[in-house]
Amino acid sequence: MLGLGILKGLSVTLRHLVDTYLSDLRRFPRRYAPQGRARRLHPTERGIFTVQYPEERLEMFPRFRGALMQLVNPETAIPKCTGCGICARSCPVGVIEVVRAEEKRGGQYVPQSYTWDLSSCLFCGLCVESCPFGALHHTPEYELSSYGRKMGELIYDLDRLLAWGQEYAPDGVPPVEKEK
Amino acid sequence: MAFLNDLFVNLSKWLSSFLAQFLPTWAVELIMMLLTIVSLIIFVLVTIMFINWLERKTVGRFQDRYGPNRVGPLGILQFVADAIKMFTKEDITPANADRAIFNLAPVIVVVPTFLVLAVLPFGRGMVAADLNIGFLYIVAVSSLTTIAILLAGWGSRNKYSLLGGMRVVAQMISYEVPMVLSALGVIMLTGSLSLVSIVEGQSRVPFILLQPLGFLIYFISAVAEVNRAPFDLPEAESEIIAGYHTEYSGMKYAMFLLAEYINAFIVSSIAATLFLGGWQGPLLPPYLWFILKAYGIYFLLMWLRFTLPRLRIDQLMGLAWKFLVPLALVNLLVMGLVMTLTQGRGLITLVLASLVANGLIVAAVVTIYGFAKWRRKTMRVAT
Repeated sequence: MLGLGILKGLSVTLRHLVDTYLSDLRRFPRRYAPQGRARRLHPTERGIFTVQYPEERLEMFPRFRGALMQLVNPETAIPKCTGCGICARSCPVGVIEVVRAEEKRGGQYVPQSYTWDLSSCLFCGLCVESCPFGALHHTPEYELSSYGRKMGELIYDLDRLLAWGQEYAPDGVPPVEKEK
Repeated sequence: MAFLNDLFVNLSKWLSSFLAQFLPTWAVELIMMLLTIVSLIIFVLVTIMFINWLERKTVGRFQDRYGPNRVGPLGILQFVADAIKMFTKEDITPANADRAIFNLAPVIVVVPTFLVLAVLPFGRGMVAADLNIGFLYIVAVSSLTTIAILLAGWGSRNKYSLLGGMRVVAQMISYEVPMVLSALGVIMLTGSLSLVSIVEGQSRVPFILLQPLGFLIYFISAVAEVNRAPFDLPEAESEIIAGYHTEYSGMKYAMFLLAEYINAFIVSSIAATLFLGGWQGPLLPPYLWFILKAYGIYFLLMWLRFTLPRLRIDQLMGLAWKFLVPLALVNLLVMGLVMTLTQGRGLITLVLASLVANGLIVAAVVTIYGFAKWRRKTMRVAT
């Protein structure tokens, strides 16, 4: 009816404008909420409901296929990996290289070197699935970009993978197992 | 307070009397004129930077986002990043383009916007040139933009550009008619085309109270005049890529963008001058009032832009010729009648009579449209 629709539309957009300021006011003095990030996605949330990425992050779910990690047996403090190389064989693009050490440690074989080349990894997870010892797992880590592609940049060695293992599964149980 | 009110006027008076000690009169006048021009240009550039940022922040809020917030506090330095990007971008001229026209168009398009500024009263006594035909001058000069945009569309030798250019001509010429007709009501009330006298005529009551319908018509046609959504057909990206500036990049594209933003701001300042009383207002200094009113209208422009979808070209022309022009003519006629009947009976009578008359016009329009709708419905049932 002669412009009433336009007025209605204007009121709708204005409400959105006002709501964003109201949601800012509720959060005042802090604009970003690193702890309350789930609030943004709550169905009843009005105003700005985009997760403001660098300041606020979503928590990744346990099955998220992020960067790889190597687990350590918590009792013996020896890597669970035996350097068998099944992961390297199952990899469709060949980004994993394993060399088994000559002598055993604590009654099991251990890898001498283990490299994971992130630059052509497609995060299919076949290596994790094929690992007979449950040593290889995914982390929820996804910020993996780097300025170079050499060792220590896009190529990960055993120490870095073990460090992630310490961070995400200090008790030797990966997040996926805890979910079950 | 009085010092703040006339800050810029006093500044220029002090400067000219200071210069008069060393220089002949003509030299002082020349310098003062140049200074006025320079300050206007600086004002325009600052306004563009601010408006660009403001518009992006506001569209963000309308769409439940923050808008630019990475460069500087609250993203205020975003325009610096944009400017660097625009300056360093490659400037491409299409091989088949009409080179002279293609390169001339972005220069011509900013000229009228600067010309219009000359007659805008920014505050008491703050006008670069008080022309006695100020409004006529604005109408004449701002229609130059049409030529520039048509040149851009033609010179690009690109079907989409040409379509955009042709649309601009159709749209801007059509909407100039209701725009001028609606502003005529204001000119009838003051009896002068000079913007300074129009502002002075509103010392007791802003003309929007006498001419609400005129303001509405002026506002709609002004939005169409500056090719902003919902009337952005000349650059409708879903239909004709980017319209007349499809082929432009880098600095030349920046010129079109600049002209677009500053045109929108100028149209809002003219609306503020004609209908909201320009720099008139209590407490605050006049120039602040003017800026506030202009930005108020500019917010309306943004609000409309981020709410409404684009019109079809036939709906656009229909709105101008079948609705706004007749409405503006009726409004003019009724205003003339009201003014003649209430002559010499005081301001309050005039305001009340105009409001009643405007209400009657709206009621008549609603009745006619309602009747037409009802008839269409009954006809459909009959067949």
